[in-house]
Amino acid sequence: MSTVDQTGAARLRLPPGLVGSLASVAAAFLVGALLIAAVGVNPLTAYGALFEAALGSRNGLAETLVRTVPLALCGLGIALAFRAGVFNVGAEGQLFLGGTAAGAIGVLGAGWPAYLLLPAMALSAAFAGALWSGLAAFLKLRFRADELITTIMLNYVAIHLVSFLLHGPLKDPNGALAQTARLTTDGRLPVLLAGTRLHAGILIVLVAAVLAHLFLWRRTNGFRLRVVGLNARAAENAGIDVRRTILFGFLICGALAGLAGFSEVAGVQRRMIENLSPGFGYTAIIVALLGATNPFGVLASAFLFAALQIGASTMESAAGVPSTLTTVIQGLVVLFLIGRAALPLLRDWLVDRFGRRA
Amino acid sequence: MFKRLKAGLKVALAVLPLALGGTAMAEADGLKVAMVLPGPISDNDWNSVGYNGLQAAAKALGVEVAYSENVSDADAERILRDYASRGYGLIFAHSFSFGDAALNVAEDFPNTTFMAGTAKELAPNLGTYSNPDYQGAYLAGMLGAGASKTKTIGWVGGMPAPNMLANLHAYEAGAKAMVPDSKVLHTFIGSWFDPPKAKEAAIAQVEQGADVLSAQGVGVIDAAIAKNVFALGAMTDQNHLGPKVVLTSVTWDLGPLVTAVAKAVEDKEWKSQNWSYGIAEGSVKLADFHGLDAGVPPDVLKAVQAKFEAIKSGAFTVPLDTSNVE
Repeated sequence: MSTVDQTGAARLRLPPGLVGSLASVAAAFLVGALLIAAVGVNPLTAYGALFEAALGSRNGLAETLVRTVPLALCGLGIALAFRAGVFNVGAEGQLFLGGTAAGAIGVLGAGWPAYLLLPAMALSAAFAGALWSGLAAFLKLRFRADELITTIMLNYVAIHLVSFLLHGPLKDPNGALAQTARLTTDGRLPVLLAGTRLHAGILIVLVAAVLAHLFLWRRTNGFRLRVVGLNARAAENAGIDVRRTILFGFLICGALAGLAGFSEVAGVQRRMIENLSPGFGYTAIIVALLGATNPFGVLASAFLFAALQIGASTMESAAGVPSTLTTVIQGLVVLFLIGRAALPLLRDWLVDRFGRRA
Repeated sequence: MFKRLKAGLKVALAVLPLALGGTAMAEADGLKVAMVLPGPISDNDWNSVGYNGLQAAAKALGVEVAYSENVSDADAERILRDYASRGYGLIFAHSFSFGDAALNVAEDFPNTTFMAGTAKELAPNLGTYSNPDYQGAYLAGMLGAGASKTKTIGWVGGMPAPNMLANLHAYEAGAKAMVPDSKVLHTFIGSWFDPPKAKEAAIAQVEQGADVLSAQGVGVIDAAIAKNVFALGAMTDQNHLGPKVVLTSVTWDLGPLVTAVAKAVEDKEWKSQNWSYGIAEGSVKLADFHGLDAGVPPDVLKAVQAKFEAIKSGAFTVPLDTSNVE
């Protein structure tokens, strides 16, 4: 058995984490297939309908890419924070504040040309997100408050604050709903593929992923970030400013999540609305983990999760499988990702228990 | 173990394209109708009305129907687009807050007919349908004020959308017509579906003296049961939710409307306009009292019945007021 343990993967020098991620996804889909079979549907029919809807048509593919944008931006931010040892789970709230800032500037700056308005919206969104994340950074650096707690709590504060703003000062005076006025065409991200919703936000994602990759592996600061994440004490002894690096991890995550809010407002909704995000900031945590906090890995896993979510509703109406099943699959991916370390233990136990007899 | 797993994966990979090809659905010839709903179809309320209407049309015309429930505002446009790109010829966006999304999609799919519930802005291929249950709300107001011992009645609704405002104003007008010095309390909970919040708001109204509640959202009837006051159901006959407290319900049957719209699309006679089916068309009614009318003065019941007939015949028109309230 021990020779089998030397998997082909190691010899092929695949990027670390890739095998684990792929295996987790495969295992999650297998268990998902069992659940689909349990409701009396052929799993291949259901998965077929799912991926056909998400990838098989021009509109489906465009929608999958549209959904990839917020997942990837938040995922990149979370991944960079992870690399610095910061477990920021506050992307959801940071996204809401970013979207609100973008919506507010978009309404205020109605009449400005697009080349001024869009950057102003994007910058204010990134700033708002970073500010919110900076709150948690302050609490951690000043009082050693665990960011796992503070960032998740700040999500609720953010979402209710945004709701208050949309019901009050930012509300469209001509409408009944809690939302800002509609953005002028100059405040909208251009559509890349006519007849679909695919907007220029996907380009922001690609640029952000390349920059994140270059930063992590080509810049000294990126190296420092990784060292702090791997061993903060060693980094300190090596003369790295750990506190500054941690602060940076918070701020970059907030800024990217804020940008995700901007792209949802300027690219998709064309105004800031209540309930802007169906949990992008939370799903992005899984995206970052599944992508092994590697920027291109994050892109790929964001695309996979986007496809899952886009295909889910079609799978429901076409194959009669509840769309919540994809939520189960997403959860299973996390479980298997975390639990993969247990596999060798399980194998050893099995060998120990039954191996000799066999 | 791992080798076997790998082999299994290879098989799965080989089968996957077959599976993908196998699901390419044959295009059906007839009209396909879809409905996108903001909440669960089992809410006995707004979403049940939509779903029942869709199913009634499916039965009456034999058309293929599909629906998506629990769709958030942020997701509405994507789901509408999905149906349009899958060849659905008539798509209902069953929420006031889906208006924007419907407008955007209608622009990109000029050959698809869209119907947005209580929308403000229309397009050549986007019509709207109103929910004239305010006509029934007038009767509910009369009934509530007449049955109230405290001369104070309550009303709990979702968001201040025009149809909700119309409902509230008519409820108030009906109450004043029956009992001129009656008082009507109202609360907008700021969400279309938030039962705990609706229940809380309703209990607060009872504590302010209300002894009849108009339940314009899920949760109010629970409060009526807890506080043992009358509730007036909405949308469907909600008596089964509180057999001892739900006096009657203002029901809305969307079946005739969905059927007529689908028929018009099939016959290519559909027009972008406001489709409205109220009391006169037999779509809005008061549900059975399930014996609870014993707790209401007979002259009140008689007056309500007479008013219903007057609205039906056109002798009386319920005032339509959608102005904002504080």
